[in-house]
Amino acid sequence: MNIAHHSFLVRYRRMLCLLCCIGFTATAAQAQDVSALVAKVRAKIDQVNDYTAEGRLKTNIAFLKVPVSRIKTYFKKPDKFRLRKEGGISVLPKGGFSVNMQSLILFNDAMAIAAGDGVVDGVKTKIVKLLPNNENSDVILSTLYIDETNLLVKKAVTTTRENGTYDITLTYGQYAAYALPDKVIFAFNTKDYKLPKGVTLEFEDAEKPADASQLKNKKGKVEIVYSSYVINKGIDDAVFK
Amino acid sequence: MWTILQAELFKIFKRPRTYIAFAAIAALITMVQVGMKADGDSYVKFMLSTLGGNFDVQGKIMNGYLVCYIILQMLLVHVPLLVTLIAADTFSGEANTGTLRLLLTTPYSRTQWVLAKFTAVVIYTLLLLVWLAILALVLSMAVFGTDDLFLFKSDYVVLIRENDVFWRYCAAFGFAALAMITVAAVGFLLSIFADNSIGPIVATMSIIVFFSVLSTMNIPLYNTIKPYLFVTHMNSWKEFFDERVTENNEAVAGSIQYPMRIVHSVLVLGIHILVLLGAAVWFFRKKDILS
Amino acid sequence: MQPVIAINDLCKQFGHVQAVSHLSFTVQPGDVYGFLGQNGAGKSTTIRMLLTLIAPDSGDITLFGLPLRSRRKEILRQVGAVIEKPDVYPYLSAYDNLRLFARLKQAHTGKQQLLQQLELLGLAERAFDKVKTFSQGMKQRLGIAIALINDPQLIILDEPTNGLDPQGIADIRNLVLWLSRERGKTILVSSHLLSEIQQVATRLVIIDKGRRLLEGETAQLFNPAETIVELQTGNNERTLQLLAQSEWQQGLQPARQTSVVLKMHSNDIPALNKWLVANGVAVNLLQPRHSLEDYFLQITSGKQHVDDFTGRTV
Repeated sequence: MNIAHHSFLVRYRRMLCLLCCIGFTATAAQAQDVSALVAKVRAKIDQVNDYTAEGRLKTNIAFLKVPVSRIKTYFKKPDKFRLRKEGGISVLPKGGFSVNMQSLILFNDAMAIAAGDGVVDGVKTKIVKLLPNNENSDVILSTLYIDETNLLVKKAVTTTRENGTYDITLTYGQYAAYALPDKVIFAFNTKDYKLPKGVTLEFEDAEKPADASQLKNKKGKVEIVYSSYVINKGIDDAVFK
Repeated sequence: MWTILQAELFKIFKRPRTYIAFAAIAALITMVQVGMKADGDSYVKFMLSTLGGNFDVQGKIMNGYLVCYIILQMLLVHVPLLVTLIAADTFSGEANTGTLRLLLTTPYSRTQWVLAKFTAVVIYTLLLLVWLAILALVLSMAVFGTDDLFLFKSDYVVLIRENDVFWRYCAAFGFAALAMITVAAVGFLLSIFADNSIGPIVATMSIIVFFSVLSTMNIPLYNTIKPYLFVTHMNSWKEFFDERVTENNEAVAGSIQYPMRIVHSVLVLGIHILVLLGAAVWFFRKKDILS
Repeated sequence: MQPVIAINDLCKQFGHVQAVSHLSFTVQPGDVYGFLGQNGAGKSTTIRMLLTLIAPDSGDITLFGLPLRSRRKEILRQVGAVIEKPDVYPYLSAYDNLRLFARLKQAHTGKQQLLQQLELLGLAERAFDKVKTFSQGMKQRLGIAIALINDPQLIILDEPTNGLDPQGIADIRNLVLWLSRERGKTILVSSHLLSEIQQVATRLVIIDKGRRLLEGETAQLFNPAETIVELQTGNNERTLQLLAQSEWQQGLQPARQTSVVLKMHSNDIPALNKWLVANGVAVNLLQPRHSLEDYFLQITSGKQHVDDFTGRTV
């Protein structure tokens, strides 16, 4: 299954590139620091020309009962990305990445603001806020948490008009040197799900998911855990078609 | 015993009425399949829209497994009516044609007759379900292909991996067989008390419809009696299509959310069958044949 | 000799209706036993009790010397019956019906024997036609074919001539006589018509309201001393007056509208005729009828209360 549109990694990279641009156009002194930081981050990311990664995709949404699936992702510079699953049906947050990141890329006139320090997973990070100037942009605000020491983006929070707020949390391990995460968690708000019984033809007593408290948890999560990367070994373009 | 069972089966499959049910099932299933083939995509779109628009579901949702599920959901409510046509006719039909008195002057006991006739009805019911399975499952698989089963339930959505589906259908059909045999047992018992088949057929259908309506009404007064109605338990086949999830909300392949519900339903239905059949034997042994 | 059927003090009640009341009779081997009574007299109930279709409230039934209740299967293997209407499966052919019941009655018959049986009853040509296309007479014959398929010792025919045309009735009569004389079967045949029974039965029993009215050998029951003579003349009134003053007066019965009725010995009929002619009576009709017939007519038409005759066992 090709799920290129959900390639949040690609957008994450794009976003970083964008940040670099924004960084250069910023005028404030803080922005100078920000731009320097972002440039370094970008340089790190640029080491990777292509990669193939194997991982497991986990969906954690209260009203979705979906088993874990094995996936394979492919990336090639500048923006080719593909997520493949061996057959079957996949459920992913709708365009969470595509729509918003695309908007981010249009941020030519976004404003970058250093917003102090934060801690993600016990690691000290610099917080950078991006504000698009374009009033029609779906993205209202984007916040990045950057680990200055290792030059890694640890977290990104994006608020959109249509789809609420998305959190992307990245955990690095073995492939931190390439700025490639071992684990990515994409968290987002979900709406209530309820089908009339007439539609589902379930006339019996309402069935509740095992843990009722999970229903109240409106945050949906999609998690990808990568087990291995093959980096810079070249990829046939046919993979992305 | 084997002789009278053979005779019963011979009669069942020699009469035109038997094939009405098979034809009806074929017509209904084909109708659903044609509909799904023609307009299944918009059905899927509609269902997906209920997810709230923030999900992107990709893959062949409208596949043979889903079509089979849709068919079962719609049809398993009505198959009892078809089973009733034969089951409730068992004794009453013979009383009506007058052949019952001929049968009962053969050197077999009344108990043997009840058991043989019930076995024949069970065989008929099973064949009806096999026919249903062939058309609803095998034909759908052939026409629509197979893939993961993506089910919209009223409170949540379940995705079952392709290689985890088939056994669930086998189990569901097995359970449905038990449910249908329960219905058959109701009609069978009622058929003892009448001299024409219309009465018991209508009575059995009325019982099913009445209880079904009752079990769909969410009224506290009725909720207390629901667990004792066999109709309530007839839908438990759906439990086979619900997975257990881990605390991370991750569905466990090959699991069933509430296996005990199935066990409970199997017991309730099984007890119903035994009690109904026992009552049939008891009443029939005592009955004076006046037809 | 052991009786084929022995019924002793049999009772059966349906609700408030006493269908059979303290009924006893026996059927000996080789008998063609007439079982007479008007509709609703309890004939069918009794026959159904004989065939274990109805459980008696009290009383004993033994067939072939075996108690029916405990030796049911053994007994039923030796019995063939047509109960009321000859009902068979309309959606099966005559052959399939016969084959089905042959198997159920554990008769080991091959296709050839089945077809022979159908031929015996004149159904060979229609053997493979669905029974729903059959006439009543054909169904009746098929019913009898089924009753006979296990070559039973005892044949029970409940109202076998119901709904049949005169030819059909004659066929059944001949079949009964053939089965009795040629095949040595014991036959119990019920009817509400005395005339029908009279021609075939060696013994008979008459029941009413579930009770036995009389039983005996047909030859004895038709006692010539009790012959009823029906007389139609040019002037019945005048004939009646003449008879009332003559030696014939003691046999005179209440007059009917169109005839004069006398009870007398059948040997005296020629003398009566002579006397009438000598007295100038124009005799249009002089018909002897047995008293039993009149008696039975009275029961079945309900004109006279039967209690008057109870205990009149010959």
